[in-house]
Amino acid sequence: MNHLNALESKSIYIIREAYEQFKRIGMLWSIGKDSTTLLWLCRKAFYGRLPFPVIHIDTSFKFPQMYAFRDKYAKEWNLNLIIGRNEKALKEGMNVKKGALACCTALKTNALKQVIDKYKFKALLLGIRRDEHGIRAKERYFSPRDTDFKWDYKNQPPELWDQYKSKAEGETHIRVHPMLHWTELDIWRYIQREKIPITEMYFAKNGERYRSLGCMPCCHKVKSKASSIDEIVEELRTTKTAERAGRSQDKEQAYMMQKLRSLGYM
Amino acid sequence: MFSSKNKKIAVIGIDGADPQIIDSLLKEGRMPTLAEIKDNGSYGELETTHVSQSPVAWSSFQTGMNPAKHGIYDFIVRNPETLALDLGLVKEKRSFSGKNVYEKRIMEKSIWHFLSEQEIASLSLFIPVTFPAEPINGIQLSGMGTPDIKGTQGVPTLYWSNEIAKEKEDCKWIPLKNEINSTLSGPSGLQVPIKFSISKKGLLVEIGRNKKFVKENEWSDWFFVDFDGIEGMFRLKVLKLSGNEIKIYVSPIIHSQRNPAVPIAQPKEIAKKLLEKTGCFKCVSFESDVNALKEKLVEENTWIEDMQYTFDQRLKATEYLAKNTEWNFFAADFFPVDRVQHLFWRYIDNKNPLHEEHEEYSRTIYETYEMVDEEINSLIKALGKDTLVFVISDHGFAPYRKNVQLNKLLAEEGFLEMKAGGSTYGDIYWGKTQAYALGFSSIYINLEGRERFGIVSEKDYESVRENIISTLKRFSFDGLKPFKDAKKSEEIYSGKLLTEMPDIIPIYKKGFRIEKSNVLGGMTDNEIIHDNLNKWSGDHIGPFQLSENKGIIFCSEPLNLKGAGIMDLAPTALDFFGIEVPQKMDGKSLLEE
Ligand SMILES: [Zn+2]
Repeated sequence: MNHLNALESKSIYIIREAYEQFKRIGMLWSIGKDSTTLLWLCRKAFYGRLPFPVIHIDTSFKFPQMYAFRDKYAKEWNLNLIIGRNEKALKEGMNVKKGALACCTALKTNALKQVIDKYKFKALLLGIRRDEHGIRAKERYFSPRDTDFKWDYKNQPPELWDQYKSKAEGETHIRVHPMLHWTELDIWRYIQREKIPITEMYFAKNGERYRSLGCMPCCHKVKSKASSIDEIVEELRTTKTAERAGRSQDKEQAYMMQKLRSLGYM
Repeated sequence: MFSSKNKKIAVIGIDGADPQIIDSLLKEGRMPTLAEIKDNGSYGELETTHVSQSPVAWSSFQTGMNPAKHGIYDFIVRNPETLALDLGLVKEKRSFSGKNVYEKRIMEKSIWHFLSEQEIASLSLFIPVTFPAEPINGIQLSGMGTPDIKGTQGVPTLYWSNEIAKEKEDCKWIPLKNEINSTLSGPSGLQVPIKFSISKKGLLVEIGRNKKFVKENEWSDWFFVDFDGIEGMFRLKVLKLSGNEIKIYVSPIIHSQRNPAVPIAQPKEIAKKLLEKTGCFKCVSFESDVNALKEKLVEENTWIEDMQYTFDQRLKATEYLAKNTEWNFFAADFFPVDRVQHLFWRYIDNKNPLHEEHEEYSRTIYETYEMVDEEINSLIKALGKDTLVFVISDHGFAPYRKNVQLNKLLAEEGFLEMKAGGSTYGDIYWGKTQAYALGFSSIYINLEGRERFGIVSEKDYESVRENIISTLKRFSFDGLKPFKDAKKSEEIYSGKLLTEMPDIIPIYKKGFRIEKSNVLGGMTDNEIIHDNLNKWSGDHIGPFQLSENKGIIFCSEPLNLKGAGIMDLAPTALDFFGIEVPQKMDGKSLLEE
């Protein structure tokens, strides 16, 4: 099977399973390329009609282009859009000047908590990729959090779907990561192939473009000349020589990595 | 020349003891032993090596030389001809049997070699970069750099009935049953069966014919285990043994002190003798199980128990040797203060992203200093009255709040390129890469003729270097400027190994440190600068400007310690015994007027 088809079908499988298992699920849409791709996959999984809502956590500090994009496609794709805002914190004047962490906690984490409480979601779909995480990260397809959004080690339900129901406890909500196995380049190739609409902020203007999107004060541009999806794919590909080498971890390499990582400093 | 009633000289290391913390604890009267030394003798700050990592600093301690002479300059190094990575502490020759052969990386003679030539006996205990231990006149117990039985620096295992153990690194999943058959992992993938049974007396642990009961919340005694002729030892703590959860923490399996397969001690028999007399001294690079807490296999309280136990055991061995063997030069390095500051700094740094107000743990760092002070009192007694005593640290400490992705920065600035979708050292596209970061404080130019796929010509070398240095100095992200400076290696070091050393040494501001994937030559998809969300929240890797990262020095005699540096201790010891200090040493005797 073609690489992108394989990625797609695995993701769709996970999305459908998640819906089957939990029914009360929502998908987090940040308007960025990853979650927009996830949204595309969800629409494919259910033949264009999403049986669950899409949640946008609105910190009020997103770029105007992002709001425009959200509203346009929410309408065009007939989405059941839930907009989550921590109105209380906003009224009290929360912003990044009060500290990036405090700001994120109030406007993202707590806003999401409020949405989950209100709609009683049992599971959320997120567009997280494994290659975003460090060398030690082992994000799982399903990662349970407690109500404080911390990893809940004690009530960790098993990985496998069919064992799930017997173990999970009421208050845990599950995060499902249907795109964990995708890379940044996979995303762009898929966007290119499927012609997924994407906000123009990703395309270079005056030698700079955004590589990931978030709130205005916390977002920065990278140097780039790529002003179209094709050019971004080309930029990321840079395979002027052979296919990427050195990724297959033979035993010796694995041993070396383990040895280096065993330094406490790592 | 310095004259004294003293016949012996001793250097006690409190690794990582920070001048500011020491100062404030002295003022509060919480370090009476050091206060007394200070009052009757002298006290000052100690210059350290410019890359203030313990192995580098302690190599300069042993040799009296700077890193371009002794060759230890970063935790992680690469072979430019093969591009292979390795630990910078010791050379390892792998063998399929699991019996690896180790060679020193340190290129110069150490103080105890000079003294041995003069038939002066030394005790060299737990000093970093002394593995493999060497036959000297006296006794050597190896320090940081000593591998565990797998060849790593100390990797523990958590046996856990929770499903998450199936995916979590360093975990083994075990079923929730009354009798559990599992295995211990050894060198070269060797496995030895281990059986756990739940009984009224606690957990019964069986390895071969060896059986022990361990109660919930208690540590076991040491177990010995044989992996095809390589003997290891470990202990375990039963963390949970209740109806719906079994959780057993198994320490790193270290080389057996009864019959070590690698040279952890010279003479070899001393390891076994100490085991009989004072117990296990935990001969492994990370002597207290830092990875256990860092990787969240155990909680803080369990780690503290282990840290205190380890310190106690090492002290017992040290005092035994100090009292019962013949020696004139003594050097030992103790790690509780360094380790506790790495792992508990977040409790005292309210700007750390994981900062927590915690009744108990916000005191742990200071209490560890107090504990060390108390124990040094008893150690000094064991050293005897006729001993000139120095107490030193190899560096101070700083907060570690933000990660810096140095390779990603180089990539975005056009000095480095990754192959499609790649993010690891193995994915670097060498044909388009001018420079790469590796280790904790090193940037290498991809120099033609030196590096395997070098592309920067000799002619362009300087301008590329200049370019990168000015890029780093200029660089800012979100209003944050992580670099204070960047130096060319020859501005910091001098010696014949200079050509193998990093070409550029970035100097970070306090609070910033290189991110761990970047340490291994790679990068992640995170921002170039992002929060450090690890419990490892204090560090000294820098390098910071030297004035910010000095260690301390105390001496039992009044000496002029102004400008004293870690390279001065070896010349001081030679001078003490009336031996001429070799020209080659960069340090100076502190006994000179
Ligand atoms: Zn340290």
